Amino acid sequence: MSSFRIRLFCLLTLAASFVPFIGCSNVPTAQKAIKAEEKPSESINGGLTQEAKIRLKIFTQYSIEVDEKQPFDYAYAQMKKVMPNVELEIDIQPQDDSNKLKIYAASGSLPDIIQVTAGITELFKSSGNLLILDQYVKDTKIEDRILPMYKDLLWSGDGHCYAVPRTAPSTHLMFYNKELFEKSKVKVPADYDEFITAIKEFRTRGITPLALFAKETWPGVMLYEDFITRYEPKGLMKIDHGKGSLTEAPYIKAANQLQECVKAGLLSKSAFTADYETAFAEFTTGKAAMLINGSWALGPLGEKMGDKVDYMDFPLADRAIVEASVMNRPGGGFDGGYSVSTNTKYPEIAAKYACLFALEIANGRVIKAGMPNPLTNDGVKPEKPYPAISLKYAEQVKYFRSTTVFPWALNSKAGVILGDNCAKLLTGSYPVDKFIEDTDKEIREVLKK
Amino acid sequence: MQKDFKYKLNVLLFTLPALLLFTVVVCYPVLQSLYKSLFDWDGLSKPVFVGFGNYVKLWGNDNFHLSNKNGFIFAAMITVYQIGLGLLLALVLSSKAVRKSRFFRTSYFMPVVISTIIAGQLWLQIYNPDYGLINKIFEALGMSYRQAWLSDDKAAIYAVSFVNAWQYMGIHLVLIYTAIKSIPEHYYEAAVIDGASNAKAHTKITMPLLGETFKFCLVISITGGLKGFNEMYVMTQGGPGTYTNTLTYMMYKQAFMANNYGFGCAVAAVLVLECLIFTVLINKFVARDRIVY
Repeated sequence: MSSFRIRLFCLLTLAASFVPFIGCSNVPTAQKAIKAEEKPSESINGGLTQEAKIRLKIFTQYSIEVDEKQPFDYAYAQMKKVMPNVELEIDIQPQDDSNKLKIYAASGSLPDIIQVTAGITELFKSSGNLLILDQYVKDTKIEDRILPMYKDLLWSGDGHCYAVPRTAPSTHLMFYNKELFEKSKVKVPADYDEFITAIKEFRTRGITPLALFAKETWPGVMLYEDFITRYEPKGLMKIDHGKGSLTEAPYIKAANQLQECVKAGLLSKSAFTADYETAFAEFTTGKAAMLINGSWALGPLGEKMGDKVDYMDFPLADRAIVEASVMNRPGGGFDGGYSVSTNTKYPEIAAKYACLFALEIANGRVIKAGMPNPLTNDGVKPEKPYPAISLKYAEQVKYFRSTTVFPWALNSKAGVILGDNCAKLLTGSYPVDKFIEDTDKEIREVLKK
Repeated sequence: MQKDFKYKLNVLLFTLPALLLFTVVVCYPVLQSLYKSLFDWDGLSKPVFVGFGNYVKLWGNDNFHLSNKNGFIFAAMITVYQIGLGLLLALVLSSKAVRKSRFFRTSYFMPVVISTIIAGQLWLQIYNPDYGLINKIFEALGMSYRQAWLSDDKAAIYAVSFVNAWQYMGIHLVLIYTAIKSIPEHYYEAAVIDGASNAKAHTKITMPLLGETFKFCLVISITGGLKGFNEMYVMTQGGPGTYTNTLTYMMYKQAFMANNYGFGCAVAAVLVLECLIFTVLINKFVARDRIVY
């Protein structure tokens, strides 16, 4: 080969090696061209004319799960009546600890509308990635449509709105297999002593007392929270807000009781490698007597098990305070919503759309997915009649005295610490005093800032 | 003179694409991580310079020491198993007495081509405390020894390490087997004439001549072990708690779950440093003299 050819080969290789970097530019050229053509003209409905078609990119959950795709499609159809010129391009949110979203933000290519959690809202708010929606909330009058008890969800700690909720808050529940309790002749526990007795009785019958999907860390944190809220209604939220310490009596007592239950055989030995599908199958097939999850599981469990399933008032308090603590509910808070990126080319339209769309999704979750607690006062009803368990929840939710938050709404660093240390506590080999000491120290450290 | 210049120019042109790619994909991110480890940074907002603050915090962090220890356990487990068993099998398969050696080599190599996700799921079932194969074998043997392999704070890291050791042993087997086969046959013929036994021939000829291969195997297994991640991610999510965390897993959690990128970069820097130290040490002490047949 002549030296000219060698050099040519090298230059071509060099050029080819840079091809992948073309993909790193923020917006593909083709996409830019399309967006340029779609440039809207000023007019009615947040800057839309009858002719202009706007394509907004939305980053959202959209799996075939009953509470994702169907409510979304319903909401999209509803929005076609209100803002017919807007088309959505769906970018499906993977279960990746929001990493895709963070990469979008870091590379300045956030989609127009994004589904966020409380943790992401805080992160993006401080980095200036979220549009403040205050004016759009007023213009679209969505606050009037939200039930009074949920209006606070619109507003962040600094008094601004960065995300519009797309569902009413869920709470944490302890489900039980009624049929299995009856067959096994185990009394449905009402207090802590009865709970320990029930664990031991199920263990002697070779049945797992509680199915926990501890491959994820949040169910372990929530199990601890279930105990804490018997004695401290604000639960871990109080620690997260810097208003309490894990060294306080309720947190220590809860940790001791939780570990006592674990040592009595509360969990299956494979709990730490179990995902939700495994735990769900264990519970619904009668291999486990109880299951903990959020109230979003009411519909699927009610549909699968009918009258065989119910949830109990957390039987985790000492007998003397059962009555007083029964309506202290773990979970709640902001369960996620839609925000608008500051990157968007169409802030007016995207913000208006996000505000209205979020509430339509909330309605869709009631109509299509049978969620028992609506977010809005639109008077929506489910397509299929509620299972008995959902009706019970819908009735009871009015009497909840206090709620907390799920771990994903805690400070992200504190959430990781709690997740890790609660999982260690659940192994039974991590002493409670070390758990309290380590967790308290580590959380103090990260919250100091 | 001009010929020499042309030669150098050609060398430069040939190496430039790879060098540039390596710089962009490896060197730049490593240097960025080292730089960012000096900041308190959530990945999006403006970083705040904290000097060596992240490293001081890291040293005082129990999880760092546990993750580091787990990395060493992981590396030791896979090194001993993969190189030890790989060498043994390679010696056996290279023997003329073994027929169908290609079949065995292919069979031993098969786990390598399985995806880590599949291998992880497979071993999750094998380790299952209730119906898993291992506990069932103990049960069949009439032994009451049953373990929650992946839920035990002490056993879990060994159980996870074994999966990697099992899956990638085939690579080392093939590397060592190929190296053995490249040793000229007449060395062994001379040894036989001198009255050396089979074992003697291997210790005096095969082993010294495999030095370069061992060096390479050691580097990939030790650095691969120190940065172990996939098996933990699939099987235990680093748990229970942090009991199967390695430095890579700790870095992932800090950077991508806790939005603590500065601290995560400090973990990454320590990991890079450890891998570099081991690579240098292996290069310094293993097979120092290059053998050319």
